[in-house]
Amino acid sequence: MFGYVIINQSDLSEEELLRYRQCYCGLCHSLKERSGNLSRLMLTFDLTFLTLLLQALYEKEERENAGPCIIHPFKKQSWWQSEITDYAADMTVLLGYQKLMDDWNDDCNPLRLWESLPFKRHYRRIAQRYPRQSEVLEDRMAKLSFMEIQGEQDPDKAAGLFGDIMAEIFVYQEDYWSDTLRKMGQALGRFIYLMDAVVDLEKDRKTGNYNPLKELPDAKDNHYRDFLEMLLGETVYYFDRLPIVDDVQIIKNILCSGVWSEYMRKFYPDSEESEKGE
Amino acid sequence: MDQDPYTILGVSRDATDEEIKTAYRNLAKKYHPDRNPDDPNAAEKMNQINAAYDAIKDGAANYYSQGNGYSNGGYNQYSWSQNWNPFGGAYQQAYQQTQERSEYQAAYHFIVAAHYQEALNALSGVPSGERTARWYYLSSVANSRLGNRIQALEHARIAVQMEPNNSSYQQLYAMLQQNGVYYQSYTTGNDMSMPSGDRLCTSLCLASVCCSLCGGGNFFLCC
Repeated sequence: MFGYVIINQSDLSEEELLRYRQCYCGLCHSLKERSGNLSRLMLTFDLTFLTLLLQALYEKEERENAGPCIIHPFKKQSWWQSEITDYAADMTVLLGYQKLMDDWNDDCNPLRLWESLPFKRHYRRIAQRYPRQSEVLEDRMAKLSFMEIQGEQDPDKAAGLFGDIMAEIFVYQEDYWSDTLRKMGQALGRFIYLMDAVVDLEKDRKTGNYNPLKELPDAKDNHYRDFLEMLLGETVYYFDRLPIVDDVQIIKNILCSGVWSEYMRKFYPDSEESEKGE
Repeated sequence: MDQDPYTILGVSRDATDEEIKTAYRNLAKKYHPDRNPDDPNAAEKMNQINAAYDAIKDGAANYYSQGNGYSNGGYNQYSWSQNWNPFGGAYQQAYQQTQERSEYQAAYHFIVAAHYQEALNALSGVPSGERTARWYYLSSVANSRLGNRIQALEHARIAVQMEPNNSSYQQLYAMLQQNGVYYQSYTTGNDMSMPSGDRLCTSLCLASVCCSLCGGGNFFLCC
């Protein structure tokens, strides 16, 4: 489900790449500090995006740091963290743990249950601290599971459930901007869910796995592009409503270009880098 | 608001979007209640600044949506809002005089009464082999009002495909596509290009050594 909200590396400057990497590393460190080393495995680019977005909106104080890192032991890395990074780290664990539990419920694979155990107490602590987000997360995940079991073919309903989850996660605190953030999160959440369904459609048809798009036309058809652009249009509209001036190029790179990476790789694997609009 | 929003933010009427946002940020740094805990008027002042910012953004949106070009305001908020009347126009009145299935009449009346789920329920009574363009049009309208973006767009597309000369169907489809059009112009306006299909792996790996997660939700190091 996650992994679509990424950068298009080739279109970012060295400075922008560094800033993004420092955000990602900072998120990794926050995860380690707050939920232990293993929780770093839950790190996603999607929550890196959220960190960048919320940090640009709230401009919380950044704590800068540098040092070796477990993945890059020979090269000194630099990173920054803020209250926003800490929040995104907590949300990462909420989502990661739920994903494990969801996999366990779906496949009854004991490996998933085993993997979830170290995170259980962190999840409980975070869920208690953020009841608004965790209640919506648990409720909508349960409903999504139910839809899958029923085989319900309603892409809007399924995407909307995931949209609800992202909507709440996008809202760091209830304030003047929560409504806009909620709508942006809703739209991006629907996009993520739908992109995942589009990318997996062919495979799901063969394996018989659940996919709410099975009764709509074939995945390569341009209709899916229309749906995805419609949802991204909503996302960037609400992003544009936010008074953000920092890291705008990185955010736009992600929303206008990076999000299409997997789609392009799957459906246009031999394409040269091309201008949008063709 | 008593004062002109541009005056509150301290920007000229032809300020760029970036200038407006920068002006907002500078004012927020100055007046935000968190930075002025001793000032009882800070919250009120911040509200004024927020309202002024929104008013300017709303104004820009309205200006552009009146057909002055797709820029930051080309966004179609109408299909998901309650302000749009899908049945305005003479076509609808003329159509009503012809004989049509009771399910379509019921759906139409439900939509006019803002009972969109009931409209969809009525339409579901028509077997899929007998669904006309009209069915898809009504379904699209009801779905759009319920926020079912995908079904709305897909059914509008089918309605136009089945009856290409119907201007009401074309209008509906065009309106539902506006968000996509806005996105395209936003992307082009920001000089963004599509990622190349064969470069996914390098775009995912932040350093030349492997990164910890490529797909999210995985629990094994990739690359």
